[in-house]
Amino acid sequence: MTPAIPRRRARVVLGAVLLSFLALSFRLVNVQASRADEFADLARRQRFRTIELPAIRGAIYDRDGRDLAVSIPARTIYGNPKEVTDPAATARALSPVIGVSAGSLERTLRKDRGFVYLARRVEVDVAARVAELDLVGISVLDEAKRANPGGVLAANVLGFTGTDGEGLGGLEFAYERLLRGTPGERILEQDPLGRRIPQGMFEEQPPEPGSDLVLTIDRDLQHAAEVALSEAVESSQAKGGSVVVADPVTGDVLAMATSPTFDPNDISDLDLTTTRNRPVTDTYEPGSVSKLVTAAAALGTGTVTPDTSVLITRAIRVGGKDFTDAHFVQESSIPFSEVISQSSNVGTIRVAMMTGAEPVRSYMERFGYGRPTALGFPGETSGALPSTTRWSTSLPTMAIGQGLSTTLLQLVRAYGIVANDGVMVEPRLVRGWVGPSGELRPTRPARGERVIDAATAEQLRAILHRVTEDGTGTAAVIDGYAVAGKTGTAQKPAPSGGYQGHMASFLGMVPADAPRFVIGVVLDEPTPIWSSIVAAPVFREVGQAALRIDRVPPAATTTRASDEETLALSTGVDQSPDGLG
Amino acid sequence: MATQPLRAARPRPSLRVITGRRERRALLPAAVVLVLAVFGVAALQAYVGQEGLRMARLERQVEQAEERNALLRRKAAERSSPERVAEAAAEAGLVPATNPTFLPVSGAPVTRDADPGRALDTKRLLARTP
Repeated sequence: MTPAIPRRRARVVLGAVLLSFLALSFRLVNVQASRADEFADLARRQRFRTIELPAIRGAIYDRDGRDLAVSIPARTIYGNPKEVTDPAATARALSPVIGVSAGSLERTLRKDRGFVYLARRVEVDVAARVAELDLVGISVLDEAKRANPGGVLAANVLGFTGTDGEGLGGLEFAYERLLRGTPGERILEQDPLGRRIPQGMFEEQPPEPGSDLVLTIDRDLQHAAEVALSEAVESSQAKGGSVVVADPVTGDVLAMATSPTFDPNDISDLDLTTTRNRPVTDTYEPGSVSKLVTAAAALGTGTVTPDTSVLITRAIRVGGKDFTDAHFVQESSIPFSEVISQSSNVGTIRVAMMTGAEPVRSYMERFGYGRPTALGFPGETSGALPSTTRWSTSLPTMAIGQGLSTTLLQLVRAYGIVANDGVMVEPRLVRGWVGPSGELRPTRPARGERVIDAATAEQLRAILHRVTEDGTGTAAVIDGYAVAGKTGTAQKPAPSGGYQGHMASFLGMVPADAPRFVIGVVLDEPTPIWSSIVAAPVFREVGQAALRIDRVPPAATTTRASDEETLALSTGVDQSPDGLG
Repeated sequence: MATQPLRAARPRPSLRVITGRRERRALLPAAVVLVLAVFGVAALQAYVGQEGLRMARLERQVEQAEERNALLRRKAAERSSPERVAEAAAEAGLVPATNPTFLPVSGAPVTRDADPGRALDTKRLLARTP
């Protein structure tokens, strides 16, 4: 054995060692210097898990703090098809628990993906039963879902949320930023099996829950309005309808009902037409209920007084068109108050023409026609107030509430002016919100704007009271209380032009001498068409409920409360309350 | 030639051999401390781990309690909703009071004025909201 061979081997080994060191050094520089950040990030991702902590969506309360919409815990069932060994058996086991057909589940589980949703936001106990099945490749994820404990109650006002919990309609959409909150995150160190290392790093930034919204809606009154409306829609076979109840002094909307409606707890098969908040989004030609504004213009400008005699004929011809009164059979002169209480088209047009086109239109503007309310509700429309001088028939048409359009809420705002001694207060739906501090932050109170003087408002209330005493609105009378209101049966514009069908409205206030509530009712194409028959009774029912809920004593009781002989009085149909007119 | 007086010879320190046994004896306390420290740290780690698990368990319990609270709250709201109350009342045979009558009470003294109506109860609202 020569020494040359070991020396050569030694060189080879030395070379190999040097090369290895070189490679290691290169890798060391590569790992520790040039790609240090990348590897550090990779290591972090392997060791640390970041979990998003969803923010709890703020609740929506009624005016007394009762739940209208709340967020509750829910679970999402998901699968990893790559881990599911027997999709058919897994689907069969899951199907009865989560209520999805086995066929559909099997198709989902056969997809070539690592993650598939099987059921979103199911109840917690459903998820617990899924967990008990202990199926390979099937897991459960914590989520939250929106629940409206009252079901359809105020659904069109509240709106609804989507699959990911975001507001998609109504106040849920309008106040999304306030309600949704800010998600937090939890960072923790985990072992290779994904279990948390107890002594490992743990950082948590808690989520900030969304603010709670406090509405002006009264839950009980809302329910009463919805029941009365749905019964009227059903019995009159109307296409739909709306009711609004508001406090004329504060502008608070106490109830806002729409029919047909929907259940926000189940939006899987949602008909979007039922989600509209009709009192705000739908305009219509108001008809005779708008005669109040014409009367305000006539009285406000001093053109007439309630006692001024107005000649009523079978018809009045303006601009080559005849406007008629079906229920006045012979020519006569009646006081202006009776023109309104008997809803005479001829008399109203005659007085409007005496007042003049410009003042009439100016009063319509001041009463809020053609201008949206300050509600800020999604999809609110402003209605239309065309020029009274556009056509020769514009003034007479608009004087009786045709040829212009308003929403029911705009009409309630207009009647609120008369109820509130001539001062307009913008309606509001949100009283305030409650932030993390738990303190109620009230919304800015609506500022009143004088539209007519108090004396004119009082005269108008007296005229409207006559409507319910001996005029067209006797079906709106509430035993024990003075009611003021106006009927309106208006033609409905057809999409192809002209008119087709009718809208029946009743707008009024109670008690008439010091109104606590302004109530608006409208029914879309009812049978019969007459508002005195279909809309006025809805006003009475809703008004009764409002007075009962707010504990407003009957007029007779109030006047005799000091009588030592009497605690309270019997009030009935034959016992007219003290009132106006 | 200058001479230098002789110094007295200093006694040499007495040298001794250090035995290994004494060295080991000196190391023993250090070793005991070290072992105790190691076991102490291990025990502490185990305790921390145990407490961590306990904390995680408690956190889960808190979450479950909060969930239960939310679900019960919804159930309470559902059961007190006007629709549900109306249904329950109808099942119990109750009917709406559509035409209330106010009865005269002869000779009875008036104890108070008629209720002027309910004021908006904001205090109650604040008390209910967190």
